[in-house]
Amino acid sequence: MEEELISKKELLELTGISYGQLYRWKRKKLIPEDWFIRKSTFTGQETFFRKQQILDRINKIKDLKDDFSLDELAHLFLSSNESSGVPSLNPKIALQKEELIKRNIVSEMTLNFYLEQMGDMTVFPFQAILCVYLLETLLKTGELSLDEGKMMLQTFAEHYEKFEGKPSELIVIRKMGVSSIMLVSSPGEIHFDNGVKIVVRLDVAGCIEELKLKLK
Amino acid sequence: MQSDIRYDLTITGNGSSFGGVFKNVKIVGDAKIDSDLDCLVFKSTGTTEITGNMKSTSCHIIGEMYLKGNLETGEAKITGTMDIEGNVKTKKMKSNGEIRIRGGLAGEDVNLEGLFTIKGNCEAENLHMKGVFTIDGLLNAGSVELKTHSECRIKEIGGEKIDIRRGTGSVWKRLLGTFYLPSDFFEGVLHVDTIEGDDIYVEHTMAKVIRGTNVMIGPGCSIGHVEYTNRFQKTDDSNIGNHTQV
Repeated sequence: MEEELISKKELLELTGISYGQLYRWKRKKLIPEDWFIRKSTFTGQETFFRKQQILDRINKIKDLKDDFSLDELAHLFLSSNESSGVPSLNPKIALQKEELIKRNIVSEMTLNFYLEQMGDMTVFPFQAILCVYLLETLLKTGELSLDEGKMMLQTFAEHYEKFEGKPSELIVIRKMGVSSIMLVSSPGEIHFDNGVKIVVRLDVAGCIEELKLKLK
Repeated sequence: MQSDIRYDLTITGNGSSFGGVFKNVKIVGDAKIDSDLDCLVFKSTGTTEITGNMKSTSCHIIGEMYLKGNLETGEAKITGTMDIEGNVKTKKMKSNGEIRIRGGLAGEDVNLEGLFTIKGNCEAENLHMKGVFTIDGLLNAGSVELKTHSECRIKEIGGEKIDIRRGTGSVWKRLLGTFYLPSDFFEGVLHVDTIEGDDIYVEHTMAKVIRGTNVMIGPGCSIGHVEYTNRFQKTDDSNIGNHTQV
């Protein structure tokens, strides 16, 4: 799959940041070294980036830089820089179920629903936190019905471990009112027949990053 | 070496050590350390050769130092020659003398004077360099201040504030210099491929491309192409291929 590249100059124009900022972020390891792709062009050597990847990162930095110091951000991105773009599940984080509500990660309704389905638990390891967080996101946007939520929980509980450390996406499709949930490794292309409507495509790695921010 | 207690290591005269974990390391004379060295304070006067990596909170070198591995230090003060095969990571570095780094240099406050060659990239928050230098990689710093002597070469410079000037000396130094310095020492010129930054001032620089917000070109430059977004200024005796506002 050929990814779209963007030159450094175009990137700065598009995002409105200056050379200085870009270099500062690079120095602070907010943008990893190997994202800078050097290519020779007729004007000499130029630097390119993968468009989607760099734009996502820069928007994220711009959003967060008022609330977090650059070093904190670097720390946040570090886990995703090193491996192939997936923040690892942090096994050290575990929360009491009351904490989940207090920290505004899930609503009480979602939590109760989760506990109904998965059995009562008082301490949530990170994977469970991620799972309820995903559920909350999907239910809140109204994209998923409760029944589908049930399916999602099962899929997630059974299969997510296989994706640990690999980039993955959660996809929900519907055809003729029948829905199915899938976890696929990304980047990958999937094609469906015409009758299929893709309801949700969630990048799990992105969710982990958001979640980590909330847990700080 | 699993003990928590750090002992001192002192080598006076001619000696060698297997390396390890120490509190203060003091070397006067000629020393060889055969593996990694981890210490708090490192002081060496004379010649030191380390075949592994070195880690310290402060490092003071007078004389010569050869390091096969990487150097990681809080503070470094170097008077003399340092030759490093690996990478250097430091908070604060000050040097008068000659430095050769085969890997890259990363630091916060870096103040170098003299002669250097860096094969990799050079990163710092504040960087002052004066002398004759070659950097084969990217020079990336918040504030870059260069004073060039003789022929300097850098592949690429990127940063927020970039200031490149020709190094000068007092009349007395110039007079004395004619005896033992290269004849072009006070005619410093910088050769660089690209310079990218926010505020840029250059003089006596040969560059292919300069891109920045505010670009000022001083005397003695030859620049292929200038791109600027806000302000552009040049003196008459500089040669610029073309300039565009973007």
